[in-house]
Amino acid sequence: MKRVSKHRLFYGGWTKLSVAVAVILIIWLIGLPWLANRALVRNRIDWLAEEQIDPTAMFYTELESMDSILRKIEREP
Amino acid sequence: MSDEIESGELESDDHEEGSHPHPESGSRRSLAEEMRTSEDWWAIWVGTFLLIILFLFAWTAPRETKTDVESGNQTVVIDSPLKPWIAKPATWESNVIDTFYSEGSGGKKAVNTVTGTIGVFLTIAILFAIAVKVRGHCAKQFLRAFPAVFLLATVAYVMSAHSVVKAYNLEYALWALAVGLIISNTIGTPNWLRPAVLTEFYIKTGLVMLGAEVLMGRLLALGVPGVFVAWIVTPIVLISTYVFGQKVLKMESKSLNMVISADMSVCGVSAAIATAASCKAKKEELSLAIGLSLSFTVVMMVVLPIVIKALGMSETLGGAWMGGTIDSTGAVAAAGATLGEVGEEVASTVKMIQNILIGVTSFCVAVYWVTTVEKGEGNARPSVMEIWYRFPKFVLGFVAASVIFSILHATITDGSEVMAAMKAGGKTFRGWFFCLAFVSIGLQTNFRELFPYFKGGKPLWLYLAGQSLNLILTLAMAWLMFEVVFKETVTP
Repeated sequence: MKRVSKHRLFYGGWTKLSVAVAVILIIWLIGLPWLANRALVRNRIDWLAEEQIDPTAMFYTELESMDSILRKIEREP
Repeated sequence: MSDEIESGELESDDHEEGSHPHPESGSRRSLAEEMRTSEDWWAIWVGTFLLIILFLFAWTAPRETKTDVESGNQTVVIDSPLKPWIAKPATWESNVIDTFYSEGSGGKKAVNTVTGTIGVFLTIAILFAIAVKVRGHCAKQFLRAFPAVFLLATVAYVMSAHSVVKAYNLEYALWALAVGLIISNTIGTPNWLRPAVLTEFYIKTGLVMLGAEVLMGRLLALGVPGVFVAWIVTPIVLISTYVFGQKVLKMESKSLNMVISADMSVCGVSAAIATAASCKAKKEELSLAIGLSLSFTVVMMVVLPIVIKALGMSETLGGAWMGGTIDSTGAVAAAGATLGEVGEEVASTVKMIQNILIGVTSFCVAVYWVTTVEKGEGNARPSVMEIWYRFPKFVLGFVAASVIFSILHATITDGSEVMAAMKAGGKTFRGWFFCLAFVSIGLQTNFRELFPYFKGGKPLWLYLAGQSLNLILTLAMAWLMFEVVFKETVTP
């Protein structure tokens, strides 16, 4: 069985981490901002902002639009 | 390079210290000793302390009355003085700095989340350091490691705060897991970080705080039809899916079966977290269940509105169907809004009623686990004392927070407004706790450990079978309630 030196493992790990960080930076700082300005995505983002909807809300208390829905329900007899 | 942290279960590290001897034997700590040193009780203490502070500041804050120009309705607005000190990275698009600070321009609000993020960091660092110290561990080691774990959680939050990522329901849990996994699978999680990798403690504290958001008064927001769709169908689907997983698919892990059944039938990630903690699921099982849930949510939030429109369903029926079946709360609102205003209101309200089921689900799963799954030697049913001893106590904090804040919401003056002011801080802390927990899970997980859980594709089949049943039963119940029995009376 091939033995890999600790030294090589150490630098291999840091190289992998650097590559992962570089990929994340490229996607988030270049790819996603570019994508945000494509018509289809732009329309969706603007529509969600207008409707006060956060699709990543995990619980109803994180939905801004829920406040107005609840106020409406509470006002009804 | 340091050693990687070993994988473990989503149960308290008290287990290692012998607080939960299993089966019924061995020496046990007194209740007072347990309350002083166990992780479950400290999750309750930390969560309760934060909730009391947040409530007092919201309750005593000055009220402002605003009049709506169009409708003439008057509303009371309360802003907690703590608001600037509790924050998470804000939504950003082209400049990453905007997530922390941006001047308001072009109709956009000014943003400053720096002080709020630092405020959260300091609060959690201090409270957890006290907890770690009292529990007999080294607070210094925790304080040395915590800034790094918090920094990783901040990175995950910044990734999830991009407007494109948010628009497609890719929640922070996913990015927090990814950030942790990248570290643990490249350079390995350093040992010095270990004292702050407190997955269960973060989750349990976050769940106690979540309890204050589970307001029982919201249960009747849509009247009887809402209760039938959200509280009758959901438990039927949960139990049927779990039984299907055990009897038909013969799932090797009962806890994985339960977590997938709960996140699919109740409300996605939040239900998965609560159930996983109640049944002491392995962290890989929670990661897998959340991955499945998020993947299917993205598909369902796009496909279901198309199907509903193609079938010519009413907005009310379509909204109720989506509210009962799409896992994630935010995705339900987004999908419901594509149907129209009524569709969004019904979908969001049904999902909200389902959200409230989390507390009951968590409690029932914990009771079922300690009484049935974790039987003692000889398969005998454990005694009442044994059940109490094994019961995950943080669930009591979760349920108690829900009951107490439901009562406060219903009885104090301007209850809804006080809760809204308090909620702003509560949900932010809860989000940070869950984010820290998912970073910790990532830091404790090796990719290779995830593969055995996909064995035979059983988790996928379980999810598909359960969701199919969910779609059929929810549609049938929503049609019966909203289109037949209460057709004339239901208006959201």
